[in-house]
Amino acid sequence: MREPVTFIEIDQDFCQLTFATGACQAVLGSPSGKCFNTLKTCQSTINFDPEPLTLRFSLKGQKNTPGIYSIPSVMSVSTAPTVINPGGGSKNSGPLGMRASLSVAFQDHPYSDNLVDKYVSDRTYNPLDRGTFWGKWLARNPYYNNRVIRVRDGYVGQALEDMTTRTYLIDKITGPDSNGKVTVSAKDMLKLADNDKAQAPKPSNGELIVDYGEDENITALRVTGANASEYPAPGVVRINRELMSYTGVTTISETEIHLTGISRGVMGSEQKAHKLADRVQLCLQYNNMRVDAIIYDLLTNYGDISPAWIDYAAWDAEAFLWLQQYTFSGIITEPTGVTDLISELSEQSLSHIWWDERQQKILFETIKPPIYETVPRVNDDRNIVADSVKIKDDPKARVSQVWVFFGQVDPTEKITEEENFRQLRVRADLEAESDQQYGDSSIRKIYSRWLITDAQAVNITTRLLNRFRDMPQTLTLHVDSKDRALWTGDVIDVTHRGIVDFFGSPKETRYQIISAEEVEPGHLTELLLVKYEYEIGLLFGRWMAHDAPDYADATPMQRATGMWWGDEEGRQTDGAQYLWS
Amino acid sequence: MIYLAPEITDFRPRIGYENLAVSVTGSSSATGFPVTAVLNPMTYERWRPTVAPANMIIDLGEVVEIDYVAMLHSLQGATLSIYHRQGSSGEWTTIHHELLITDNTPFMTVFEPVSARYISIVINQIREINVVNVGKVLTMETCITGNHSPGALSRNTEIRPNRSEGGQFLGRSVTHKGYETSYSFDFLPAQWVRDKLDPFVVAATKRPFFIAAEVDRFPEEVLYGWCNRDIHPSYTGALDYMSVSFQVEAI
Repeated sequence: MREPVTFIEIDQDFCQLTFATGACQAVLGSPSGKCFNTLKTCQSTINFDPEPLTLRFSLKGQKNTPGIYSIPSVMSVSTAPTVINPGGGSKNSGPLGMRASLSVAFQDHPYSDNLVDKYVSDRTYNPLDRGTFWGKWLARNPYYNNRVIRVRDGYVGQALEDMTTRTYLIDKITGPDSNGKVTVSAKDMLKLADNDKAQAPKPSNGELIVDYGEDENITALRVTGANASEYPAPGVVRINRELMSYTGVTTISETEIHLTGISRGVMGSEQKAHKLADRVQLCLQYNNMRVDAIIYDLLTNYGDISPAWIDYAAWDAEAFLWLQQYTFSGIITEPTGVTDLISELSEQSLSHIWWDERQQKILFETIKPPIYETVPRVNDDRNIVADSVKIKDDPKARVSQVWVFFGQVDPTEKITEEENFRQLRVRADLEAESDQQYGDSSIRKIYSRWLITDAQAVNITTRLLNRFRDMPQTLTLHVDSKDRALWTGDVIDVTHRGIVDFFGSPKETRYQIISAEEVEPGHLTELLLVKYEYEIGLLFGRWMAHDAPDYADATPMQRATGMWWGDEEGRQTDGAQYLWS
Repeated sequence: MIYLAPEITDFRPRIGYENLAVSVTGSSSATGFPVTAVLNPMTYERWRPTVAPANMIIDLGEVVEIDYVAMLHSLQGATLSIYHRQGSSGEWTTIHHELLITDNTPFMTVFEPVSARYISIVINQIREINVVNVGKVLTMETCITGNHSPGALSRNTEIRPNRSEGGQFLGRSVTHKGYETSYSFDFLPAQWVRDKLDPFVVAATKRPFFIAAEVDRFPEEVLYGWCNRDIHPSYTGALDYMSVSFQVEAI
């Protein structure tokens, strides 16, 4: 018998100094009284020295846990889970899928100021008789945006650090309303990379100090309003619709820098006339960089995401195994939303990133066969909760043609301008469009500033068509918390009476979990699954070393991760077959 | 658990609602668990010392007459000692000495009235105490009448099972939500209701209270509970007697 418990933790900034002592230069006896160790109440802000103070709350009615101080004022916790969109196939969301969010409702109440007021014993009033917890907290802590909020779900008797922990950033707090209800809304870490918060490249401050004619030869571009450090050399700048490369930068005075070694009208742009005060925008360039490294750079240098939230070693290992051919080059000539850029990269490399609330990391994965892992099995008897299954086809996600435009002519033109691309690779499944099958076409167009080679474009068209040629099927089901380890991104094999073969027998089918949510924390988890393209029963081979054994002499692991030429029907001696794609 | 001093032979129900404590000091307190927590009725605020044995000294502000001490606690396995005295120094008079606490049910001790200002509570292990009441206990005029579900047996529990598609038992989650019961008392003298019961009726709308219904047969059945509605005593129609009933939710 298990008894679920839930804790909500909010980290507020709390000055570690003591009022009017040591480094704190506030004055004792001030009319404002002692501060509350928050920036808003600080009387010596230059010395404000915050560290996180964790406030902990629990569900109303939840029993006290010895040694853990928590305020039982949480009325409800609801989450919208992360939904990943591998390959960007679902039209219900962009290539980055849907992001996780959290909403916690609290009941406001009188409060003793325990923990939040270091000087409560010096006050001349009883805090229980003055205001409420949230009223006072919001007055003292208006700068709560982007502070960490955690949800810990576990069981009675379990240590806090062993509980399932999900982490978010506070977005807003509403209330208290006239019923004393307060709602804290939070989003996952990737909110820091939202288009309205993160742009790449960052806007440049430099402006031209003189006019330049269309055909004028420029030996040194005169720029004001910026430091030399804003234009690292060598680089490329954009002025109106013209790109110029430069090889050096020199500081002339406090108000002027020169960009030297100028080449005009580069990378397909045209030379134009420019006027004094025209903006000089530094461009962001990536040359032959693997997709994971580009995404990492965008998140950490432009999205303001701490590297602590990313296990880059794991990213590197994933990309090393599966994405070696996805080295990209591209130039971004004006500030562009980081989320938009990452969406392009994800779609064009069939990889996806998402914030995993449990691991508290931004994860990076590609669509791949699960040949290095044991796939968990889920069935009607042991796992699937009664009456919880829903099966749905997603016709909007079906694709019969994939068009990939690449080889951008002029990077200053709009990315979706089809005439601005030198090359187009099209793959079509005409059988799928025939009257005997789906009876219409569904075209997916990809405009790529990143792809370098025709092989990359061919790969994308082939793999996207393989994945979305038939209507993707989604499955929703519930599992008991004994299976709560199953989570977003996992691949599982499902046997259910509603999924059958031609003869009506239940058919074990492989799915990927694209969303998981503990709809009743500690008790029930809802999984949203989409049929996985790498089916059960097929062998997925990889090129082997020259001294690898023959198939007959290979171990089961070698057979699972290697590949051999088959007979005229593509079969091995035991009938197994490798998929060539 | 309710303890009655040996000289007390009155086994009628007791209600401990009065709290005369004005201030308190403690030998040590863990961060987030100040000793002052025992003076407010919030059950989630507790005192937890950092070093054992530990003690707290409650100041009643002046010398007053008291006959009970009650606590909401997690002292199971620890010994509890309670003393009193009138001055800020001098000998302590024992109410309990090293009483072994065997469970975490609310604690009440009732004794012959004494005059005291300071109450010392000593525990020999690091444990938590949520609430302490010190004052005069209300002794009900009659025992409980009518149908009554003993408080400690009236659990409020939410049970959620999971069954698989194939009919197998997958798991069950239980959430304990405290206790809920009602108390009824008949044949209460009208004057007694006004003199003794009414102060409790007023207090019951403001703070939780301790209640022990069967102090001799089932002394372990003590609740720390609260009423969510006003209590309305009413005449029964028989002579000058009144009756009263009230619902209690308890932790």
